Amino acid sequence: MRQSESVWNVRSPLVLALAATMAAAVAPAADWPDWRGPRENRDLADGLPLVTSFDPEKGTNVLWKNDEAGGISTPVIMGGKLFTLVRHKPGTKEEAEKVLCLDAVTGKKLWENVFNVYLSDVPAERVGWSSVIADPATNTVFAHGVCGAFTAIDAATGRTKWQRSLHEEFGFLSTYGGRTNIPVVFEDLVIASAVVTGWGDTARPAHRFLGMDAGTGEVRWMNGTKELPEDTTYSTPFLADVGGQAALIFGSSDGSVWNFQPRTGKAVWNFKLSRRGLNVAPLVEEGTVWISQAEENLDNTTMGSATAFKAAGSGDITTSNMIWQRKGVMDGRAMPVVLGDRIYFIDDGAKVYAFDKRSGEPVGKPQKLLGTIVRGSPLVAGGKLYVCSTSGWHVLEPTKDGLKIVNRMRLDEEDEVTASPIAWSGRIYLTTGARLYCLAASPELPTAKDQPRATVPQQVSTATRGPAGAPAWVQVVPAEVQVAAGATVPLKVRLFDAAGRFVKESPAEVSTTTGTIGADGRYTAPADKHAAAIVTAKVAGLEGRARVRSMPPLPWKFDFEEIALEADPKGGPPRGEPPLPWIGMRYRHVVRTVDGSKCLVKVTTIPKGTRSQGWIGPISLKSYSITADFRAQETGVEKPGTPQAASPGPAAGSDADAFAKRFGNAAALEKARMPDMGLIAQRYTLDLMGASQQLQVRSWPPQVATHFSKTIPFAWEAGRWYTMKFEARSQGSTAMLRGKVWPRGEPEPAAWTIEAAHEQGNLQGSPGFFGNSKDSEISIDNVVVAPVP
Amino acid sequence: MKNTAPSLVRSSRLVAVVAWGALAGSVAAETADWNQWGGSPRRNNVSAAKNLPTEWTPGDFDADTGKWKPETSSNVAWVAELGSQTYGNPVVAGGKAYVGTNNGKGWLSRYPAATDLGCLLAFDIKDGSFLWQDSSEKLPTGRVHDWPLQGICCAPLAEGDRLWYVTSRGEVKCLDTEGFRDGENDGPFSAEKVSAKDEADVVWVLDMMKQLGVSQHNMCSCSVTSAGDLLFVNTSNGVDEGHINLPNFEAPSFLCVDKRDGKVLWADGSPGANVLHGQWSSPSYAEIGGVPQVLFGGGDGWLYSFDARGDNGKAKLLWKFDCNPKESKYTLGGRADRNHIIGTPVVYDGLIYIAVGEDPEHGEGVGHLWCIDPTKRGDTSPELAVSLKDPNTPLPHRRNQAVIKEEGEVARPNPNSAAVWHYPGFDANGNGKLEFEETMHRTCGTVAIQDGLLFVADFSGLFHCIDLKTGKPHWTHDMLAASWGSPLIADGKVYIGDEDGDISIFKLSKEKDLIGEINMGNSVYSTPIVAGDTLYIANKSHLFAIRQGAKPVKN
Repeated sequence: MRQSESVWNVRSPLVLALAATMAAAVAPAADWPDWRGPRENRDLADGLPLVTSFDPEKGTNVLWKNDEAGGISTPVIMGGKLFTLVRHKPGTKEEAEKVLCLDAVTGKKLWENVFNVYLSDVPAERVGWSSVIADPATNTVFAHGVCGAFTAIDAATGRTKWQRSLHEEFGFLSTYGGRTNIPVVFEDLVIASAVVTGWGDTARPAHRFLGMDAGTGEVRWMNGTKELPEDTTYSTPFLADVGGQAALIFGSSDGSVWNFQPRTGKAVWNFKLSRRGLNVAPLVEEGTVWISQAEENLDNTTMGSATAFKAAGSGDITTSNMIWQRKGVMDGRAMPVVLGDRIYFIDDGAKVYAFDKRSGEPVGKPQKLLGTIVRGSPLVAGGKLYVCSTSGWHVLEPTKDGLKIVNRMRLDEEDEVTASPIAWSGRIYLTTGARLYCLAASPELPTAKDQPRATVPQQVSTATRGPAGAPAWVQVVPAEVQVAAGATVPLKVRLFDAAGRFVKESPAEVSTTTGTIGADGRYTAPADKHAAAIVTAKVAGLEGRARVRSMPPLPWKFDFEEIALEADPKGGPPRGEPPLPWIGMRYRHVVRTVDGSKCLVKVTTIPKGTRSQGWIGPISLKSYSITADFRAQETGVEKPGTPQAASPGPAAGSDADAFAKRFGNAAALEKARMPDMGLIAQRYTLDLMGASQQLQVRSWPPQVATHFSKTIPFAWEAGRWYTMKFEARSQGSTAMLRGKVWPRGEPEPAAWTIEAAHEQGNLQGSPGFFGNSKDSEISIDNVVVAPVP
Repeated sequence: MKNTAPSLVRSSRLVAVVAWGALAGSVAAETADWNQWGGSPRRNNVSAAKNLPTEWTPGDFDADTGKWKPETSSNVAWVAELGSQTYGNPVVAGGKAYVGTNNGKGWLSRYPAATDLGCLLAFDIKDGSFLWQDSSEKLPTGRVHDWPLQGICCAPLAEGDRLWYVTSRGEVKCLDTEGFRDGENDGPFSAEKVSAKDEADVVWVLDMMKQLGVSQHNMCSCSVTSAGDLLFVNTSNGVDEGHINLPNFEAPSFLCVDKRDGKVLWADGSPGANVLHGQWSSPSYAEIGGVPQVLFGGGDGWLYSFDARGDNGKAKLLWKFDCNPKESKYTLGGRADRNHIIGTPVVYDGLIYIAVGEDPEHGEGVGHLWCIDPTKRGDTSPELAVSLKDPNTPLPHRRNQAVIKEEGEVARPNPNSAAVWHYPGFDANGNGKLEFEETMHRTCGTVAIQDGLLFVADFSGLFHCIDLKTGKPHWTHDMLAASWGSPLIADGKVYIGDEDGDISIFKLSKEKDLIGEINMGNSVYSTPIVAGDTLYIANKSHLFAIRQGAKPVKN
């Protein structure tokens, strides 16, 4: 496994020692542990002067540059170390994602923690979409990798403390767009989110959050917003103290701003803004939420809005809590910032809007910036705004009736800015596509007396921690877990008051939908079978629950014959549900009788779900094979919508026939509608591709041209059953992949159809399925997962 | 329906369209209609109209209801409500204005505004009143084929009582311009679900996805053009969600269709598996040197010319021109220097003008503008890709990078090059590098040409005025906002819109003279057009009819 300790890299003991010394020397400086700064508001607030200009060519005001730290992620700084998320070995077969740690004073690399990108449609250029968050309390850096790999890293050494695979374990979506949520730390929790297509009542997609124990990764809670959102999104939650209650306030994929209690995940209120998802990180101060969006408004054809509303109440507060709203402000990416009495929104097209933060009255006309695209957020420091478009640098200062430009400069094309500038110890850190700049007039570090307003505590005050009231919420921990069949899970039942404050741990009356509950309240999973349990704990009339998936050791066999079929309410053939513990499989698949046998069928009618993957086991599995029978439905070129049509090919004399005769042939048209279908083993896919008539082994689909992959031509037909076998085994740091495909019913060929080896490969992972079924359904039967001899 | 062979000569029942440059008829006749994208098959956005306004006030809109307040406007005759996103350019013909948009307005009661649709709307140009809507329900396959809320992204072609356009469902449709208001259901297509007066009357449909195996990427869009009975269509065939594979690289990219019944007359799939992303360029047509040429911009960055007549049912390629430097490289999702063609080729005075670009979602980047001689044949690219092992045999084109130096490949000058000039930018200050203001960036826009001056806007917000003969810039102007559209030249002025919603108005001159900058309230992704004495400009949500001295009329 790439993310093992063997690859963490400290350059030399000397560097480490030096860094430690410097970290101590600069200790008085406020950390910038979150991409938004110490108070989550993009405001430095330490009073240290910053440069307003620099010259990238002549080096004026450039203390150092580091090319390896260039990219799209905003760095953070803790204890004199800078941490950022970047591409590792770009353009190579070993390309991966990594957390890079630099000495924030010198720019020298201290360590890196590399993890593979696997089973994701995200292109390499969007690696590092999120930012890491640093937790001073535990000296840990948390990274939400672009594919869903989530890593807790010791900030001192770069060693992995724990890692989860959020897409395999919970069904976090990772798409071509790359939008990846930035985690936040609250007390002893690290909180991550994505649109999730999981199992049971999380099988339907929704923007869901996981509250994880920062020390162990154990899931304390999982909760989401409205199902079937239009988009994936990446609004970083703001942790605020709202009326004495801790609040996790975020823009969601469902187009609403939500407040969840951060300790419990309980939804408190929501404020509707758009029919599309929200990407902007909200700003919360003095009980007011400011947020913007650049998609459709709900009540007319305008797009975009800047909105202020009261962070109070419960339920839908859209109408009751509005303070002001300015429609037409197309800020869909940059976080709003406050300077004095004004709030500033930077629109996606590089204009700055200023409003009175309380009344929403515009201050002057929007200020145009150099460039046409803004992706990052402004930095507020020394009474100025530091704003970058993708191609321009600006320092702006408020005037009586607007803004004046203190400095502006076009940036070279390779210095395209996607990240947000940050500041620490009198230095600005500006990440561009090519490098990270450290900007200051002098390398001298400030002394403690230079920093009259040093460390500012996070906004959520201790008041929100207690004293606790009467219990009103039951949390069962672990809230989401996967264990071996027959394993026993100790459960903690934790009580919280109505304000989301922890009250105490408590005994409870525990029951379960499957498996058993012991006298000690512990849950034991059924032996020798695949199961998924909802475990309910009752305390004083309150209920909480945990969800437990359990799987026996290999080998496994699934023929779906025991699954009950029921009438389809929409009038289709009788259908059943895929096995409950499978991740990302229900909703996109049904069980149906095909050719006289019950099969898993990937349907074509799921919005945004016709290309998908799902996982059926624990991520700890390694060196195994998965085998299954597959059949692609014939579509019938002339009869879309009736996939069971027996006869493909166009009617004689039809346009398609005429075209086919001129240009290709009817079989080519049928072929274009064939699906891609495949098996997943150990974070690799063996994909039998219909339209391109190829067989491919890969791990990172958009990077097949440069990253590890192997593709061979492979002719196959719709309407015919094939058996596919995919074997992955780990040898040292190399993953050996072998696949074969043959017509079902014929003897298994001795030779492998495709073989490949991936150095620095994925050495473990869940078995699963891949399917791309826009026009043609995929039937899957006789699934076997077995250890390799 | 006639059953004769399709002809390059227009069918008699069609109203003759006056091609740009024709001298017949009065100015009024020449400028009465703007019946297609670019005004004519040559696609040069130039109008002979006079007395066009350079000052107007779009007026305010109620923040809650979105209703226009005419009393706050000036020189605006009417405003028609569109959806929330409008990329389809207005077309005006036969007293009607047509705009492709989404269903944000919800004109039809059976489709409330919350129902996402591709909408082609028809308005009466007398007062902007709504006439009918053709509705394209979203494809069940979702955003890979049909991006949410983007509506209809192309401009239709209107001639007489017929209109042709490409829908967001991957169809070419022929409609009756009267809708059902004439009380007839014109066919052969007669399966319209509703035949109310505010619904479209469909004459025929060519479903490119179902019948030709086309798989468009994110959106199917092409502003069609025609010659006689021939209709030319770029199919939009592109990559799938993974952005690597073309689900059907054998499907056609370019079509010639019989305008009368939708039959495919010839098709070509030259870009094949080399399509980088999607194919959203619109074709142009002109008779050049006695040969009817139809020009298609490919998703592979090549410009293709075909004999419009085809060759016994097959495509007949005349020439092809690679608009990318051979060593340029394509990468996914980022700032690659290899582009494809989204703008439309313009035919002017026997030469072709085209620039390259990318999906705006992929951000800014470098571009190229070319002037091409269309009389050469074969591969007329400026360079040929060869291997040093066999320098006389051109290499087959390769999608991501045509020449890889590290593998012993080089680009050598093509003796058959048709490049008249190339504008990648111009080092005006002579410092040896192209600075931002000196660079031709990616564009999805199209050039406009008059009086020896060529104008083009790029996605980075630069507006370029180029000397038509030399390809050198007279001036550039930074609009500080992305432009997705194209300039309009009319009445001695040049109009260009941008994402900030500004219409910048320049004097048609080799000296930069910005006459005015008028904000339209929200982004103008479209291109201003002129029909009669009226300027039509669509922002994202409204169509404005702007006329010197106009008083608002009620609609």
